[in-house]
Amino acid sequence: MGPAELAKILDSLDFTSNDKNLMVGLESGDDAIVYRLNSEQALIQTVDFFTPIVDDPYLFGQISAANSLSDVYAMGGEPFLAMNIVCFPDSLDKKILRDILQGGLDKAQEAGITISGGHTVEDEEPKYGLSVSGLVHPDKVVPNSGARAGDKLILTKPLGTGIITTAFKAGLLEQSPEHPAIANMLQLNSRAAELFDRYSISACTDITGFGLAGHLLEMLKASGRGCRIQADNLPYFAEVPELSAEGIVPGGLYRNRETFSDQVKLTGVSQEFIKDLLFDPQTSGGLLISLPEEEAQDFLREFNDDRHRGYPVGEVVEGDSIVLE
Amino acid sequence: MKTIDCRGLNCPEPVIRTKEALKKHDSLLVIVDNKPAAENVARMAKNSGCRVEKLQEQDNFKLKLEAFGTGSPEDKAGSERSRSYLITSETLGEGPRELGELLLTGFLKTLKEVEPLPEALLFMNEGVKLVTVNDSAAEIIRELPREIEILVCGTCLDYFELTENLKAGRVSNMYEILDTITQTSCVKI
Repeated sequence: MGPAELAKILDSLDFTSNDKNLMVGLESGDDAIVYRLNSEQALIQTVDFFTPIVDDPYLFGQISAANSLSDVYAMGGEPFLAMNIVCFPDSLDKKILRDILQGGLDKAQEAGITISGGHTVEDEEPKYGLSVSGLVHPDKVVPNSGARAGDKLILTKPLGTGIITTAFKAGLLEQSPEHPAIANMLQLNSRAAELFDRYSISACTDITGFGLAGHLLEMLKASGRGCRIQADNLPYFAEVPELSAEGIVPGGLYRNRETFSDQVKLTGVSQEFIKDLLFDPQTSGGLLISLPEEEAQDFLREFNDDRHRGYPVGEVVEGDSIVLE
Repeated sequence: MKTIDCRGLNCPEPVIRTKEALKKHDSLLVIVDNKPAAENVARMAKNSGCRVEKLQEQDNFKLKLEAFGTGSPEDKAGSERSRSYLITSETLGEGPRELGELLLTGFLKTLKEVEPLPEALLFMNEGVKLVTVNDSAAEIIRELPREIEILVCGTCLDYFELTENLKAGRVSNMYEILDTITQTSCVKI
């Protein structure tokens, strides 16, 4: 379902709550809900699951689990417990399901959390994901609504997984775990979140199905700000320009473009693939972090190592749209 | 004309089938039933040197694709290099200014009608006024198909103190502009 259709349905329902302990609910389009348990602890709750994006069931299980966990990290929290959500056809070999679940289990172990139980439904196409619970100190919740003018925006993974996985489906690229797109989808967003304590992070979201533009706009709208993005600084996987020109582009990208393009100003950006990067739906994408300019360099220095790299992609400004320059 | 029916197929299948078919046929009629598939097929075809005509854009999308270079040898030679235009003043030609401005506006408006689209428009010297202070021209240029790259000379913008006024295209440099002139068949307007 496209973002516009979903927003229309959600707008027609009354999700408002009088519960004072609900710190982050549906209103700001945040990544997860946050509920204050006591003065020391707030519960972060999130759920995500989807159809296979790679053929290898074990890789798929790992990627989907990493993707589900990401929402907790994006709120500045630490996951501690998860449950499986599975759809699986009777007709398929059960070993496939075992491998998917093993992938989820191994990723959960890497994140240092327990998976206990879950629910399985028979369905024509396999689907897998996690419902994840996390904890955060109520004063340390990082919502998507705190971005301030002058902040630097840092993205922690390259863009283009939607385009790359479309090429995987077409058999145009080999689905190796070493492919940078797969390696990035497998990677937990925990490292960035672990650093949050030491920096004045004003807002954070993770980049998933609505693409950089969609999730960035949610953050900007909730914060009452706009931003400038430098096209030359947008990181992407090497094959993206060629695949974009070849029309190996997922339908979700066009849906995102239709929904969000009127809030994106493309000043002088003429390369098609650069525009695609804004709208490409991401799976297990990176975190987008808004923090004061004077802390950005230190954050990057601490974050970057041989497996992680942060990319300064733009600045928060007064306004209400994304200006790509 | 060979017809490829891609109804009921999701991306990237229509693109893959069309690309296969283009290896054997110079012209094709492609039918798809969703907009992303239509956009992807058109994108792939344009970038592999086809003329794309959208015949129907409701319910089912019908695209007519014709590969260049299937006509006379001259056509083929002409299609091998994409074109670019170097624009160095606000007027086309050197006669009366009013006529020159009118002709240039007409030129810019007509650009998008002529297939194949040029690869780039290069604005230098007084030409940079067309993408800055000349509002009507800037509007037309901004509305041009996105495939056309608009490169504006940074030195010229600085000279006229118009860098802040850029309304279309992006600031470029002599290296990139010269590279475009060399790589394409460039016509000075």
